[in-house]
Amino acid sequence: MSEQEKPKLPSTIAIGDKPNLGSLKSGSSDLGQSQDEGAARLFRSVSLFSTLDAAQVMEVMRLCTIETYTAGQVLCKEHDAADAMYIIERGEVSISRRSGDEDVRVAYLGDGAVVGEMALIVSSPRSATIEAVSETRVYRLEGRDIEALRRQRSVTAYKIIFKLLETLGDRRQKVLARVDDLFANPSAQVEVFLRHTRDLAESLERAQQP
Amino acid sequence: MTDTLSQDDLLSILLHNRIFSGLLPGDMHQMLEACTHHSFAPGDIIYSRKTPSNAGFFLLTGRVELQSQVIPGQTRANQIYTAGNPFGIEGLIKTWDRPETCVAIESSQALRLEGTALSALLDSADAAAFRLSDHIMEHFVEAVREANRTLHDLYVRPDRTLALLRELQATQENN
Repeated sequence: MSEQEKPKLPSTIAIGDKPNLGSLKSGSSDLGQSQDEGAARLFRSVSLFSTLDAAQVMEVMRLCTIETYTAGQVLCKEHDAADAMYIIERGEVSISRRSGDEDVRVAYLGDGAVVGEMALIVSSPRSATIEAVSETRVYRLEGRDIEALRRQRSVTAYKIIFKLLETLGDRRQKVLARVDDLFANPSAQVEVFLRHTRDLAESLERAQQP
Repeated sequence: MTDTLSQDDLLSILLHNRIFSGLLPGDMHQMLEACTHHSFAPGDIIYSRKTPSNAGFFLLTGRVELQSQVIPGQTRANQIYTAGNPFGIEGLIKTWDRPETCVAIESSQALRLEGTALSALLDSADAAAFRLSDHIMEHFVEAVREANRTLHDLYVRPDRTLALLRELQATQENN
């Protein structure tokens, strides 16, 4: 989407604003309608919501809060409780993990990217720190809101959950394939694991030194 | 309806399971209608490891065993399922290769539900479909964790893995 096509943001933005969906129904100002249509377009482009119809997408959007971060602000930290996912409307974030004494950047994500979606169904600590690289506007969707929808037997919630289970299952298939590959040609792996074993032994020896 | 089990029998078996406890017989009808019935003799393979599938099963009578072979040459019986329990339900999420082989231990009858049928039931806000989906979510998250643990264990104790690889290497060379 070009800069000219992107809906213009209002002059003031507060963290925690709910998306203004009223304009979609009332057809008020072109500015508001354009912004909401842009938001709906963004949500429809998210793979997690690909099985939802238009009304179900709106249901999800109503649950979200809009947050804006300046460069350097942290959206969430590694090891924090993962309780929400983020959809980046505009901006850029870095994903980093602690390795020893330093933070290692593992990825950069921009417009339309989704981060932390597993928090909607799995309670586990954040696996990375997410930090804004430039001014970044995101939609935040809390896991407890999806859980509340699920308890109300919302079809929308179950469709989202099943898409997440698909992602989990695809990862599981890769893990199982990796285990299979390991033993498919044991001769090729002996040298690799000999090296791993030596590295572990050296590491243990270093740890024992005062 | 099966040859030996009436509709009431089917409902009794399924409603006895905690997944569907509290539901009424009427809540189960659509799901039952969406299922196909299958009979298995002892030793029959219900599905094989590494074959693609997009379906799950309810065991009505008998017993089945899920055999996983995560480490070659080390077949491990994961779990034995008894009447009234679902099995192979990760197949209801998407078409994937089965991670294990399922074998009938004794004469068994089962209902088979396609993933597309469950999806249609959810779209119609079917009560039994919601209950089954809750169970799938709980079960599957743990299954994914177990797969991750298996891979993790292979690398966190490289000495054990090395010993196993050498054993397999020797077996291959002797053959």
